[in-house]
Amino acid sequence: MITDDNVRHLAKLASLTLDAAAVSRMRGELEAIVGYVEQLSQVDTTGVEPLTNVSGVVNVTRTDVPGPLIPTPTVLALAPARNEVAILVPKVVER
Amino acid sequence: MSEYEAVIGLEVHCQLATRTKMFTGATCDFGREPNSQVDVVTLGLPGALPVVNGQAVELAVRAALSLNGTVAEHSKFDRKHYFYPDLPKGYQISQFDEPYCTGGSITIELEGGGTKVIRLTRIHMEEDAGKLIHQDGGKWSEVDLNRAGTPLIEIVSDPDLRSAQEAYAYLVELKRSLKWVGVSDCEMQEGSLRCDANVSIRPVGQAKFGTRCEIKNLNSFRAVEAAIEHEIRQQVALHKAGRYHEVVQCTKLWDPDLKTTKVMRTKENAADYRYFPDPDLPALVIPAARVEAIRSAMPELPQIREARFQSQYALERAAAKELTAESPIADYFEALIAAGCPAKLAANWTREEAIRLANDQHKPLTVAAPLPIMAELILLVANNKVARVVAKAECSELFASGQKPEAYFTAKDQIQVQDTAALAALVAQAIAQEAKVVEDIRSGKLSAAGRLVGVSMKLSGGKFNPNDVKAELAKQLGVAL
Repeated sequence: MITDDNVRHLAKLASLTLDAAAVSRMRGELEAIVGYVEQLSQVDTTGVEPLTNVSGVVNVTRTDVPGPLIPTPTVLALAPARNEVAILVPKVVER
Repeated sequence: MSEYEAVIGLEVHCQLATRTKMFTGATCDFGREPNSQVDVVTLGLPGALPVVNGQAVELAVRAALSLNGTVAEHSKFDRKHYFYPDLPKGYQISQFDEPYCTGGSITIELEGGGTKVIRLTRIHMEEDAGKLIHQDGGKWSEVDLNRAGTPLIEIVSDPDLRSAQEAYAYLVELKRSLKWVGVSDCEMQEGSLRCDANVSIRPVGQAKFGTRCEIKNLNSFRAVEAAIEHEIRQQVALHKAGRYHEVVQCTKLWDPDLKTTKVMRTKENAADYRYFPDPDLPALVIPAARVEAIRSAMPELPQIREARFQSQYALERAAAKELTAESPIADYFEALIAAGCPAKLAANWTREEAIRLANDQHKPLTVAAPLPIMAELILLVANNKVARVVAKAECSELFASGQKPEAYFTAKDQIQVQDTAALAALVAQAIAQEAKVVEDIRSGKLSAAGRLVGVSMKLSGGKFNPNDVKAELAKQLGVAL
């Protein structure tokens, strides 16, 4: 059961601003999504070990050797705002 | 304060000394041009996949073992979500409910003597975030992503610490262990060691914990100590005034200039980070055999070496501690012993001269005070060929000269001689010069003899052994010294 408060909380975590109509619409959509996923709980998982990764692969590591870098101007060009050395973001309070 | 006790837990972030980042091959050197160590994974570009740095795992395991932790055979990486421009992909890769290490301990020395074991809750691996530079007065913040993705371990202590001094001692000991096994350079100024403190108070005898505040931005061990002191004082004052309800769970920032804290935010609850297993990263399996292989390749740990120095070389606790503050010091000391120097002298000369020279010159011990020269110098003193006071006085100049000690002291005519007649004449001269002192000694004030020994040594230019001088004095004055 998804409440309007759940939706508003999620919106806040996702940095989204939703008006009342959007909250109501989202609540319906989320109910449908969660309800769909909910079908999984009908599967009998007795004796099945929980998984956190479906690949079955473990320990994929690399050696500590430097790889290619992106030149600073290219990095900065990807940002919507920049100065000569840094990406600029609207001033934010410390997290 | 006596009716209250503080309850403190520390969270220490430590950068692992790898060449490249935790999950990608971008380098992570300190002090490079902003945004010059960035690649597709650092930027979180679509399709870029993280791959674990094997060396980071190796170092993390070393850290765990040096802190007596238990390495989990199975662990995984999780995404910790938050919105902040210091990580472009919108989450930090960390370890949530399956850290690679649980438990562990750090034994600290208490100020009044004795020791105390501080338990560790866990250690986990994660990636560092980028750096934000807030322009004063401007409307923009600058983002530098060089640090984003640097490998970190976070060492979380149990709330076992009871004072700011204990927290300080804990950090000193933690740093000693981590530096010792080569996990990190632990430079707080460069941010490779960072500390957050959780502080609460409670009336003595109360089992329940009080409300805790987390203090961040602690950029030196002294800042940690001062900030904790400050927070304890503040919470106690509120409790005494009947206003303890004003202590709310929050995160504060320490201002090192004003020596005060300011509230940064009230605590987000853990669920807000929406942790979930990172599907891009397969589980990490560290078999017991690998842990043992890493353990067997580690150097003798500082605490064990400290205890061995006390028992094997009959050193005082303080001396053993100082000589095991960093592994190069301990190695230097034992190299002197291997060169035949007596332990006591090797300990004294390492502590009093070699460390001083190294600090003055900002150079490694073996460069500032090369071992062959130091060993020869100590042996000259041990064999009574150069007076200790002379050796001490000449030490800096000797090492600056680069000469071999015996040649150096020979050139300066400071090698002690065994000439009995010359010694007798010299002591007679000192006695003649210092009639007043002689009178004092004769009237029973034997402590005055030190003055005569000093005068004799000075007259000899340090060429006689002080013990020989003393014996000759006793003989000529007819007193037992």
